[in-house]
Amino acid sequence: MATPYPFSAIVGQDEMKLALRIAAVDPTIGGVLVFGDRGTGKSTAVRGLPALLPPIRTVRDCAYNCNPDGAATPCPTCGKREPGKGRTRTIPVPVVDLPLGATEDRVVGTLDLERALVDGVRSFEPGLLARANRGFLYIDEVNLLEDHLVDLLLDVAASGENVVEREGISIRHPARFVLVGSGNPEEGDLRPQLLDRFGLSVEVTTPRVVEDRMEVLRRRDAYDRDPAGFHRRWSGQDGRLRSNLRRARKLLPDLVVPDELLRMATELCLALEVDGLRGELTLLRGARAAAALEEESVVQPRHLREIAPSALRHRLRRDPLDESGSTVRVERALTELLG
Amino acid sequence: MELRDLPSLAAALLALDARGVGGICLRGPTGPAVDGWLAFLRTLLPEGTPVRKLPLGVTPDRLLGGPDLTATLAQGRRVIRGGVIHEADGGLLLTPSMERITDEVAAALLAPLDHGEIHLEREGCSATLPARVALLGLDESRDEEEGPPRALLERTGIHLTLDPRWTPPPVEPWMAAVNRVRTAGAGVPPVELVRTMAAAGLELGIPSLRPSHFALRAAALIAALKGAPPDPDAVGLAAALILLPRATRLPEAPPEDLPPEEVPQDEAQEPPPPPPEEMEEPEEEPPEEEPQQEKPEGEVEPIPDQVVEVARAMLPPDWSPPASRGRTMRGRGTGRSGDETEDRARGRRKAVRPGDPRRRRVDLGATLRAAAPWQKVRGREPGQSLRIETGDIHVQIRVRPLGGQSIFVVDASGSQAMRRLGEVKGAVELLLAESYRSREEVALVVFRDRDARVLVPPTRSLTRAKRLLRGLAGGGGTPMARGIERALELAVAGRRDGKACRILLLSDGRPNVNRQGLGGRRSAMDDALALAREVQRLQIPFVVLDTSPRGMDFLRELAGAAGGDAHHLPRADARRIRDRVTSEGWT
Repeated sequence: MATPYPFSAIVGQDEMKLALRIAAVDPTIGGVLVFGDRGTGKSTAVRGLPALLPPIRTVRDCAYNCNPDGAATPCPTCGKREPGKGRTRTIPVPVVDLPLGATEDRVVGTLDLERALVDGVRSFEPGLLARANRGFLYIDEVNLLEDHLVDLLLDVAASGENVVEREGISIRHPARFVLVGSGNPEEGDLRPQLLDRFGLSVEVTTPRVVEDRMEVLRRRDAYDRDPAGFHRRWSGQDGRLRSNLRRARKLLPDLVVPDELLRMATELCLALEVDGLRGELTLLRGARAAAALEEESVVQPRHLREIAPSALRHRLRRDPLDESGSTVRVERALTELLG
Repeated sequence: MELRDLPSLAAALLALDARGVGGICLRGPTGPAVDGWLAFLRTLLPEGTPVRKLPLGVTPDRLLGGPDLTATLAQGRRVIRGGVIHEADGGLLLTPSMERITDEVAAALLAPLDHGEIHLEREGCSATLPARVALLGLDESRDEEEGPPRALLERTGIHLTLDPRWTPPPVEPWMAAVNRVRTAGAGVPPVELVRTMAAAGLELGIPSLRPSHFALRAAALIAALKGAPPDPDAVGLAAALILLPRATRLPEAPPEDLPPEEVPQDEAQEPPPPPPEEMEEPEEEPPEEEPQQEKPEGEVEPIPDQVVEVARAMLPPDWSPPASRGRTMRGRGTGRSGDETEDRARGRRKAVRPGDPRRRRVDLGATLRAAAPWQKVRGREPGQSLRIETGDIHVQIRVRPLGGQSIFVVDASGSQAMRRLGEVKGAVELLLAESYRSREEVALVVFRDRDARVLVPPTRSLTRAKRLLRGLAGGGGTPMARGIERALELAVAGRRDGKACRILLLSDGRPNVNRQGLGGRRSAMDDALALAREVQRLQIPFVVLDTSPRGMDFLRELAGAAGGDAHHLPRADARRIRDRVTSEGWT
């Protein structure tokens, strides 16, 4: 594959970058939706993610990237072996692209075509869900993806495992991944049920300041001219983000969330009439991860403030006559609550 | 060699770096001009450049690629056959009738256009294939149609309308220049050029940076063709090819050129219209501007006047920023977004997938393809018939469009224009907010002064409508006939797509501008009535909302001529209009 554009070379788009880094610190956040203007580097950011993520250790030859130290739901093969034994390898965190034309058999996995044709043997060939285990699954133009595929992905993402029953094969394997979807709202809105199942939702807009736009154009031009050289120039920056991420992951389990912050989160959700607990939970997890990325030991109100728009904007009821839009409504509620 | 001959220049740029300038969407009817242009382009392209035609009905396996079963069996290993997109790697994808390209095909093109590769995950095959392609789109849509998918237009650099009278120039000088640049290269674009392009996007109201990126490359190449460093002339030509066609406004003209009531920039280039009868100041504030214009002054550096002048000189004198073109791509799920419903008998084939043959029509080809690889596994002996299992059976999902299209025709003339527009805007937004459930498309035609225009082409996207509804202007004469005419065109096009269309006209007065755009009460009224009779002839439901204080006889007469009703709503607000539409049983 071609050298991807470095994540750290993306100009601006802080909200999107933070959301993706948060999902990398705490994958249980439940996926990231990136919606907004065309030509804002949505898919570029996702493609640049692998360079930021500390590599993972897996069982060698395991098609499902199973953790050698054991997993809650290991794949059929790894389930039979003793944890901590056997050969391992270190691989970059998988960031798997789900192309729009993908067929269901390649997503969930199916019989190995080659072996069936050539040897007449029935064997399972894992699909994209297997490859994405312990990593990210990315869909560009998610609002154009076939409906039944989106449903399938969300079910698997929620349960963390993929169950296949086809061609006389019955298999169950782990598929824990962060779902990242991007799209342009002008191509149609996502179903509300679907929206709600993404943890964070970020809005991206193109830069409106000439200097920023210039910087985007110059970097893009430099990258087009010499992708490898450009990548080298930014590897230091990407490296710093990577170490920060590693430290944040270590900090996360011991982070203190003051009671007052819990109260604030509840009040904010009440004020915005967000139904269900999912909003509140995402808010807290997001704030924790944001604090971890700042390498703090206690979560501060500013972390809540920072993450609230992404955690809540897609959960508000829509009022078309309220010109202000959901982001402004979240900001307003935040100001009333936190001053 | 005349660089200002835009079609020739476009061909030269494509021959030099088709991906860098983003390919082309060439608009014009098929005929000698397009054929001549294609031939001219082919002569300039480097030898061996693949140009693959993308047939309209191309199947996913031919488009993207997939398993080659015969070769796999013969060679005893998996053989993947790349599709048309991969075959065009390093060259061009010729797309005739780009406006009719299916959403499925368009969706498959997006990733290759952005990233230069195809990620194939189909029917037991997984591969990444190079696909450094650029689009050579031939757009044959007419004015009233929506054109190619917007997502595709966004990723296409040059947008050019070809005059049917265009003939290719002598090829030799162009060939020489192209060869010279191909050897020498275009070099790093100077900072000033980058600044100009970055500012141009903002000034012309093009938020996306993709066009600026394409234009930057184009300007560098044009300068190289001229054999000089980039100057306003080169930048202007690049802007004329890539930026101006997608401009949503023009850089601000000096204030004295602006008639006081003409707020939106997109009208700034028109001469102040001679008021046919009444011309009053709008009573209320003009609608709010784009938020992007609210940033502090002085941050946008105006692009040099010469650039705009050069670019403008390339375009017809009466040119103004085009209405936003392109259609919205629709999700591919069956009935998911609610704009289509399954119709086993008459629908068009939308998808083929495994399914129950008792409920849907079996797709024989797909079923056989699905069964073929597993014959050995299933123990079929040579000479026996195929062993087909339930899981092989593929069915066709056929859909037809569902739901209707409400075409609002709004009188934006006279004194009440701004208030009425504001309320209609609210009603349109209310309807669209519910369109998820109601499956309703909404279009908005506005008539004022001397003409009518489609402000919002049929859409179900609230986001899109909101954007288009910003910057409405009001005041001037009442060319009602033009308004009804535009609405009729939309309704006829909508019907062709199988939609139930209806027209809703809002006015508080009588027309005073006729179909030709000329003043005069009598002929204006006659024309409006004639078009209303046309509405009746075509059996298009028609309703008039009369917002005048006491009710207008003419509007009742008009509704009658169109076979519809007039409702007197003197204090029509957004919710009342919406309720009126809903109570007609329209949604």
